Amino acid sequence: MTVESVEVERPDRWDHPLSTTMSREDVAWLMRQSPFSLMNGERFARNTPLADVLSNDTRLLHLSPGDVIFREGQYGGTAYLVISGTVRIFLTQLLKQEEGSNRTRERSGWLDLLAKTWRGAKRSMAGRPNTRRHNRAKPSAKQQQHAEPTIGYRGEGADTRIFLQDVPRVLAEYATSSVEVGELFGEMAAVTRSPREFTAVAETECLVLEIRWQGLKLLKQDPAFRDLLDERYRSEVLRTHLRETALFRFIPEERLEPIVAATKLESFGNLEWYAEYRKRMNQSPGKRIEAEPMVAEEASYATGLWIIRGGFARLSRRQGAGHRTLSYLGKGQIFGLRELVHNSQHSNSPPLPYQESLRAIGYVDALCIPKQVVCEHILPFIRKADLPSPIESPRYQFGQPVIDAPLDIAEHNVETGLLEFLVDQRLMNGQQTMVIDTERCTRCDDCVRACASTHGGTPVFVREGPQYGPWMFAHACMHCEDPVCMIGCPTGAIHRDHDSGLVQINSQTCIGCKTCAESCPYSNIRMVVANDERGRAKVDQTNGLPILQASKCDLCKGSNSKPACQSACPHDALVRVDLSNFGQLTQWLERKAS
Amino acid sequence: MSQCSANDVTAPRPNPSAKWVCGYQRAGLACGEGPDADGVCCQMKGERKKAVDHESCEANCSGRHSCELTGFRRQPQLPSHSELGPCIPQRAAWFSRHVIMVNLALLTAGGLLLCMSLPHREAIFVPGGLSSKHAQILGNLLVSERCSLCHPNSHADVSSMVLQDDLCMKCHTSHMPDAAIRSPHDLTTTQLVSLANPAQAASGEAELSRMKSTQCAMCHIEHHGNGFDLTAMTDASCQACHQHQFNSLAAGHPQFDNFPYRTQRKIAFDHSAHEGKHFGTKNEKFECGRCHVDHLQKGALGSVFRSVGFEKACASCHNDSIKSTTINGWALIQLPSIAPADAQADSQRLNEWPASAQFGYEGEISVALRFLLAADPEVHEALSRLPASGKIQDLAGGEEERAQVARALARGVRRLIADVALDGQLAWKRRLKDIGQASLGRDLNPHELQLIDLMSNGLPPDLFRQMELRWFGNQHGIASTVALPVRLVSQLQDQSLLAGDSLLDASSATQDDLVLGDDDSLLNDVSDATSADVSKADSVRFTNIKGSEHVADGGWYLDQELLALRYMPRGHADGTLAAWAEFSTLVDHAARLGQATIAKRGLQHADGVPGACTECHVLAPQRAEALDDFSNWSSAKRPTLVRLFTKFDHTPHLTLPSLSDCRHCHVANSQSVLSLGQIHAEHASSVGDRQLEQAAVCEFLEAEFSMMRLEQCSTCHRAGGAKDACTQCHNYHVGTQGLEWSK
Amino acid sequence: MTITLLAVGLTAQAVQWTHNRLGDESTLTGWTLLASTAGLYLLSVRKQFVTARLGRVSAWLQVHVYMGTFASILFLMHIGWPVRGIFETLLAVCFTIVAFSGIVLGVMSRRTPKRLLAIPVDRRLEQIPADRATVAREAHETALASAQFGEGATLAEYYKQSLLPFFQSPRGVLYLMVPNGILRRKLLRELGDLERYLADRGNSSRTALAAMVTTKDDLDYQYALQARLRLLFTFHLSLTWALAIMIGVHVVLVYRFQGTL
Repeated sequence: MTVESVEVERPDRWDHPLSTTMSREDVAWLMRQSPFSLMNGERFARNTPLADVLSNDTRLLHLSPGDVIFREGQYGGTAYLVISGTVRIFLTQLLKQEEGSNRTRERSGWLDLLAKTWRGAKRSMAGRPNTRRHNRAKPSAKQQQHAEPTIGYRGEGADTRIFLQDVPRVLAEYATSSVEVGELFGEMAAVTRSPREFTAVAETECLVLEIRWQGLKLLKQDPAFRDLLDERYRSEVLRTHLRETALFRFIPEERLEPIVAATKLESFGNLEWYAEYRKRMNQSPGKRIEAEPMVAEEASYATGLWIIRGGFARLSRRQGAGHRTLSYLGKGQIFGLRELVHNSQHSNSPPLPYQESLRAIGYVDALCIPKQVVCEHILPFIRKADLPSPIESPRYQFGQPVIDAPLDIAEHNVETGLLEFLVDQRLMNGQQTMVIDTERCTRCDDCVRACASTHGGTPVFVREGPQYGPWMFAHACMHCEDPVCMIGCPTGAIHRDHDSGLVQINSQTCIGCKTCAESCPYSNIRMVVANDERGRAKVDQTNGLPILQASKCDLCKGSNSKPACQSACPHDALVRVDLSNFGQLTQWLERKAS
Repeated sequence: MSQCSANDVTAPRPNPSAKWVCGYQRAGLACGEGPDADGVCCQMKGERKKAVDHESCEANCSGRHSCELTGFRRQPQLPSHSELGPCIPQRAAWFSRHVIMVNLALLTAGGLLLCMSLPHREAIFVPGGLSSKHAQILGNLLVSERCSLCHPNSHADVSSMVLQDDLCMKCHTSHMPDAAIRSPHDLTTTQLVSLANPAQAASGEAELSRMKSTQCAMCHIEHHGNGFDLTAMTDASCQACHQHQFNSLAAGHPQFDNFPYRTQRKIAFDHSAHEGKHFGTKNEKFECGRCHVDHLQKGALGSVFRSVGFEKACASCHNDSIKSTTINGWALIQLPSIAPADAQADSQRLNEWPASAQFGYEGEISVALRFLLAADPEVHEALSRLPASGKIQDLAGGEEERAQVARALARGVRRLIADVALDGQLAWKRRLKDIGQASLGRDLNPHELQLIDLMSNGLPPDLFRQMELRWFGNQHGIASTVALPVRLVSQLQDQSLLAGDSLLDASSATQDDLVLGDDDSLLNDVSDATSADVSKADSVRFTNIKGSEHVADGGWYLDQELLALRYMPRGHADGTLAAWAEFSTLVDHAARLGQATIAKRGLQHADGVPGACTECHVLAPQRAEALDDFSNWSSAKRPTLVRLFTKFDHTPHLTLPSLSDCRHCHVANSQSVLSLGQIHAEHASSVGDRQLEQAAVCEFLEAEFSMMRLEQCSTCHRAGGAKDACTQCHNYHVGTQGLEWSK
Repeated sequence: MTITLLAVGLTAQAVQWTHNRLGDESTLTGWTLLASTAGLYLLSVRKQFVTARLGRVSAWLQVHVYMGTFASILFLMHIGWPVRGIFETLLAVCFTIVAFSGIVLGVMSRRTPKRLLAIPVDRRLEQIPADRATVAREAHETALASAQFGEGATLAEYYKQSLLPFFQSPRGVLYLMVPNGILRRKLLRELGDLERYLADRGNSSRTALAAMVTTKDDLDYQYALQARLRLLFTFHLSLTWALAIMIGVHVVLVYRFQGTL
């Protein structure tokens, strides 16, 4: 609605480099260091030469002992390459989440009391994903009573840095692994856009090169570097991930090693799954499921235990001609345990095959632990409470006909239709999905108006979208568990908030390339005319066309309260729900039902 | 368009917060940008003009770019700009709502201002019509003047604060002047306190602080339309102030105290006796209405009265009996008899004493004569020795004492007669006044003076001259031999001249005298005085006439046989006799209070006036708080104009058949042992002590009816029955028209 | 709700008490009424501040509803019966309108969503005209096309006389007030009757038209439902400021004429 406009230069990639401190000398020096010295420039695209990548997408960090490079659970779009010195990685949780983070506490008043009903659900939903990491139980008494590491602060202002005090003691107490010169770390979180899985601390005086993952992708054009990357990636994933699985927390350290050794990491589907998803949108649901890469098929021999570590997997079962989705497994959830447990308990009777099949919804990273290892090293240490419910009436038994289950069996109190719908639409990805209960919504558009007035006159969501029964999943950013929109972004303008993990767009660095908007499977990102601080439309100097910018729901990050849309709804019809973990969804549905 | 909005990432999001929406929206071709805040279509903005024709739009339309032709990029079959005509932006829903709100508000404000400027604005803003009475008062005023009559400062400036009540009182002072003090029940704090608890009546001012000042508008709320009852008041609002709270008349109302017989009865009437004896014997029906109801007039309690008056109520039975009590008249003055020796002895100065009154020391001194003589200092001693009966022969002392008393009295009487003969009623009154003042020990008040007038009412001085002539043989009408006090002698001097005239008068007045009750003595006098040659026979005939028969209907006359001056009352309600009775009672009461002078003047036995007045009329000064008027000649009447706390009207009650019998409420008291007759009887024996008798009578009257009980009312006056609201029986505003109680 | 009733009860008691105390109960109710009415205005105030942390609007709405109920009852207590005086009557009417429309609005906003849910496609109010236009256009083309199939102009004729107005023009006010399916059923029935005069191609376009009729009617239906709700809301809000002004005048007058102002 802006009358006048302002002429500006169309923004471009690398307008805002990662750091301005990277001088030519630094770059030149870097080029002489390995691994960059080994890379050959021809492999790099013309518009993105190695030197520019280094100067724009990287920066050098000079660290002194004890400096915390990043903390477990934080989000970050950068990987780190050790140039000199050594860095320690704390495989177990080192610091409390809140410690040192600058999250503002919500003050409580009568209004909060009004909203108490929501608080319970909201606390967990706020920012941090629900795949909560588990501390490994410390059987030894000595470790029981070890003190929390004390932290201090270094420097002032923007570059304040947290550091550990008394590093040697902490090192003695915690399970750590070290990263040596020339090794890369932290890239996993960067690539998979997932939270950091460990805390990295400088052990000695060291020089570390921080690399934006956009830069990382460019560097991957060099095969050697790609190999390094992949190798690191696998090894790192296994160790850390096994350690933090809830099921394994009572397994003694020494037993863990063989497990790690035996475990295979497998990836299914494509990281950029959204393109294919778009293609298949108008296929029949049956076909779509068939197309999904199979992780483990029902009625096939139960070879091992599957642990999802990234993406989502569909837990389905053959129903008539098609497949019926029972649930979807997110990060850290386990498949196949029931069968294995059953088999080990009834060793005399013929073993059961998988009762359900597991498919990758778009893209899945999964760990597979072979059956023998499970029986030998894991099952003995699993508490009864952690065991899944035993299988009374197996559908699949070798040498016996398949009992087709009646349709009405519902594992969870979510109606299957909704479940299927969520998975088909890939809505389970959302952590802050806007759900509108159209049984209550009077279409008064107060939510949109509120949104508009919080976002300078233009709303950042549309009050329409896929609808199942009374539930409309409006076109508002869901702040996905796996935000594919970030994949294509050349400048990292769209990123996850350091602490909360909310997907945000940095209007400074956004160049309006539409990549995110087009890659968002839910079309929740729109391109709008960029306005300057005075609300004037920015127009390209050259051709007078308006300069576009990606706009999407930022969950009203300015105000530390509930998003405006939700609080503005007069009929309690609009809520933000975390669909990414099934429990949340069911909870919410129960609440709605009651 | 929305189909494409799903996958067209550049399609703008619909923005309901915009004031204006594109005019083409109705056609489904809303352009991206839409009108600006002022409702100007984006096409009209010069800078955007460049993209109007299809090609150029296609060329450089970023999709976000705003022009109605963006429609073409999506659905080519849409009509073109020219077909659609110009885009006329429309208001968004919320904005038009907003506009309507503002306009209506302005409209209202304007309308109100207009109304306020109208000449009849009051008529518009008045919150409802007035009650009928006020309405008819204000009816013929200009609309603009009406408000300010009752609403202070409504039109005037606020600075001069006037209370609304003052405005009310402008009209309502005349009939409830005390309302102006703006205090509960129009009573002063002191009065209120004394009513609440008489104990600390004195410290009323202390309570003053706690008392709240009332306002008319508390109970009388106006502007409720014509039919509204301004004076309606709930019990609850009574109990707002009243400490002793209760739910209804039946439950909790304090028991009546001596209701309804609180005011003293003035007529000693024995209902039971009348019913039983008098009416019973005559077997006439004894109905209350006969004496108590007069349908022709209306009193405070309806047409029921204490009494409808002697004539209507009592006369039929009591007239004759009353007459019969004084059949021979009342001997005010009767010459005491002395021994003949005294008449001979000059020393006694009784030479002229008639021979017929010389047969030993005896004779009765009536109460009246006592009063008259008591004015004469020389007689005091004798009077004081006289017994209660007033008879000389009853004197306890021996012959000699009786002689002294009798002589003294005789001389007193002689002087009295001469005195009155000379000065007439003047002398009479002089003596009575003297006594009155002496016995009451104060100046007489108008009522008492009026009494004295009545006591000497119609007293003819000629009779006294007659006595002079006929009894004392004094030819010139002057008692030469009687040594009068100096004062009297001096008067006698000039009287000597007058004597002749008086005779002439007498002769000239013969005819008149004949006309007015033919007085034998007078005739004799005439015969003696004027014509010496009147035949003896005539004189004999005249002398034999009995005066009492001649003046049967009232008047004064001489009794020649008993040498007495008599008075014949005029039946019931004879002023003179009543006055004598009242006067004597007055003096007697004074005597009992122990006035020193009285004993010394020998007036200690002042009662004993003949006639049966006091049998019915209670003369009990000891019951009257102020001595000036305790006369109960007429029965008590309730004033109609006084508003008391309690109000009652017989009329509605009498309509009920069950209540038509008065006895239903007024129940005779079975405890009263004595009847009036008995009381009279037993006091008759102890002569002359009328005060005790009267006291007894009063007690009897108070006890005759058992006082009414609450239950008698509450049987009908219940919730649901006859109303039992406080205001049913009680007035809020008490007082008398024009009379300010609070002063 | 219970709280509201409780409040009402308490106020009633207070009023009775004041009345018995010879106090001026209309002042009491008046001020309470004024306060609660002011409370009602708070909702729209809250709606102005979307960013501020003032709690969910839904909570405010609840308070608004209860307070509204309270105020309405209090209003009945406050006005003498019958209402007297021109100005007073106007004020009362004003209040009644707002209150009543509020109640209706409350009921509607409960029931309308469910009815909307029954409609297959859920469109925003602003889109509906567009969709109508599209449907109308399609219908037009289909009808014209059918005329050219050489099966006679039966369908076209029918379209011209009864369907055209239906497609081209929006529904009347009555329909807006009480949306109903009468016309829809009528048209569909008549279309059905045409079957016997049409061959298969004609019939196909007939069925197509029938489908469009349904679509159009659905659009109309939900348009009516939504528009009606908005209209009610407008109605509810439109008088609020006027009411505020009148209340102000009322208060001033009262105190002026009590002689205290």
